[in-house]
Amino acid sequence: MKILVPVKQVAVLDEDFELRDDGLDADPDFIDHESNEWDDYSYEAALQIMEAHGGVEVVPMTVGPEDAEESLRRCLAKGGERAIRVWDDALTGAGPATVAKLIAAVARREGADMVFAGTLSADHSYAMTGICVAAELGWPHVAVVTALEYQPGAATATVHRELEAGLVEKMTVECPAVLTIQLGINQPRYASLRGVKQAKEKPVDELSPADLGVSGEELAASASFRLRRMFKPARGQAELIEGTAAEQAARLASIIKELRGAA
Amino acid sequence: MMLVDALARVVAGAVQRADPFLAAAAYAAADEEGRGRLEPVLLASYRLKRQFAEAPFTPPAVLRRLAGEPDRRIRLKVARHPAAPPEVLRQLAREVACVEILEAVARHRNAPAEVLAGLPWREHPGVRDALCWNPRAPVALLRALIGTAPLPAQKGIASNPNADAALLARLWESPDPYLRAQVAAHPGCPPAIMDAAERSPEATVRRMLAGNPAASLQALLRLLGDEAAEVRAAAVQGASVSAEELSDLAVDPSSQVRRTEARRAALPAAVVERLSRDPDAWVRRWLGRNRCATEPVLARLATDRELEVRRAVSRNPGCTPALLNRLAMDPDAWVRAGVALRPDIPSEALARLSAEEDPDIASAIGRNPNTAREVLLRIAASGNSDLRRAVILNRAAPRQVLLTLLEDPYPLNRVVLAEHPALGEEDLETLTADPDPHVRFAALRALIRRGRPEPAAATGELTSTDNPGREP
Repeated sequence: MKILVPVKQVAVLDEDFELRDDGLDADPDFIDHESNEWDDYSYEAALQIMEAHGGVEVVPMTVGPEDAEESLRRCLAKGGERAIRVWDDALTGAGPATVAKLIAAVARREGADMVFAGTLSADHSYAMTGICVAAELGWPHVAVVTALEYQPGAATATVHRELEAGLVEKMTVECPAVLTIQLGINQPRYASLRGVKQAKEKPVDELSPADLGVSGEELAASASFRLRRMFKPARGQAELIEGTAAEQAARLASIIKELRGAA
Repeated sequence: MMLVDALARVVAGAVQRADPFLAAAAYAAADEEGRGRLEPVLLASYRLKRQFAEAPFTPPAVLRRLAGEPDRRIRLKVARHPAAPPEVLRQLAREVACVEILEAVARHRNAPAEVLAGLPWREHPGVRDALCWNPRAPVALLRALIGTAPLPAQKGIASNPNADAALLARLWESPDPYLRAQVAAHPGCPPAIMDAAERSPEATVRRMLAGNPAASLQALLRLLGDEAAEVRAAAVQGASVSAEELSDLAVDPSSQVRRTEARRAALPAAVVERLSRDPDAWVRRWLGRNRCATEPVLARLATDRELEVRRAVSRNPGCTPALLNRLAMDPDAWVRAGVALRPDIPSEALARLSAEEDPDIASAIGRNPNTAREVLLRIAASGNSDLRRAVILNRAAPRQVLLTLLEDPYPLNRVVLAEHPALGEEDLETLTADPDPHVRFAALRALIRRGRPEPAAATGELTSTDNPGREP
């Protein structure tokens, strides 16, 4: 039984960032990278199933350049024996539908039984990739999963979803399925130092779209939108409270009273 | 000598491994030649320069180097860095072509007075306004600024410790109540203005006057009878008001006033007694922490129905061992944790609480200097990273316990561990090979702090042990 966990190395912008000359993205000089927080939870969910049951393999994968391997090593430091990285320079700037096509191709190649993805990525927040993977595979899916009961090999999984006003929706989904996991479903572990060292030796298979049988034409056809422009919008309604300490306190108190309907 | 060797090995490793975080930590201890070798690692990319120019842990020596970067964006970040040294700000103040840098220098608390006085504020309103708020701006500069400063900047001058009586008198003429309130709160406020402030129809002005440490005793006593509760509460805090003079306020209708009184030192026994029976739990809570609470009062508050009141008693330095033993059996873990935090915890209570698994109690026991080694070892093996950190924060924890935490899975714990005095130099050297860059930085910084070798000595060792062939 195999659980495929797609993870992503996300961009974190410096507060004084500048845009690229083409206006389509931030200048790379102002971007740091880190693992996507949602993926910590999806990977933990998979590891917990692996540890609770025999015969379960968890395989982290990513679609990203060489730098993105760090996210895979971070996963492998917590558990799992191997990882998969898919890349081709032509994939730079690829949208979620394109990435999903490659993740689905890996799932087929690996014979994955389940796919656990993060609900969204912290940088682009499309919240589409997992759902697109399900569409590519023709599998059922449940998004924003906050609790999971699943026995490896079972025909169904029971999941919870949080709705408005704290309402919880409990549902059954047929397996194999794609689940997108929400923050808070578990408490992700930190990798032990031994795990970090061991992860350096674990294999990361590097595949190209061609290795997965996905042609450039197919990838181009999967582009579901075109990025036209990225820009900093005009300032919103936020108020910078200025003045003396007493003046700031008075203004803050009046805002709180206003919000509570007392003024 | 061993320390110097260790430093040299680590620094050589920083260069060999092209580790910018080790390079940043080593930079301060290196001489000119050593720094020259570290710089290609430290400043290898724009991204690294940006990260170090804004990181709160960046050593001043690195900021000094970054202040000379040709990229204006990096220099601006250095000018905004809270740890930017005075000489760096002096250098950056010469950047007359970049208003943003000048504004950052004008706002910076480390900028020397003469540098602030020399900034071109007449040409740049942003520089002028920032100077008004800078507590290091000299009075002569403030006098010059006030002529053109708009109202928001005038408030900065009114709160500036260097503002003199003449400036404050001028600002008092403003119709803005907050500006006048700030003048009334200034320790240099002239007596005539204080008198006028006392009669102000604005409660904010009277309240700020009541909080002024220079307010006269007579004024404070009159303000104790003010119609506004916030004014009376501020007057209660006045150091010159004796506890006896506050007796009547123990029955003040405002809980805000009684809460403030319950925090005062040296309260008369009758006031303590009355406040201890106050219906407001916050009054009893403050009194529970007050050193002047008598033993019988503490004993009664230790049975209060409000958990936070009992917790306050457990933290009161005047608590007797007998009372602490009793609180160690409180039904609520938060109260028992208060006892567990105390360095003077009785042995009976310590033994009882050491066996508890509640996280608040275990955390407090982990930090307690009296805790037995076996107990610390058990807490250090906890799956809860906060509990393990409690042991790391325990300055009395022995090295044998700390060694089990050198491989703590939580990187922040290892960063904190690097500062522990019981770790040996060899332990710190181990941490300089940690996978987390912040741990490596903290470990090398700690090694350097311990040795504080002369720069030439440190770099001399570096030169002799480094492998030039592997330089990046």
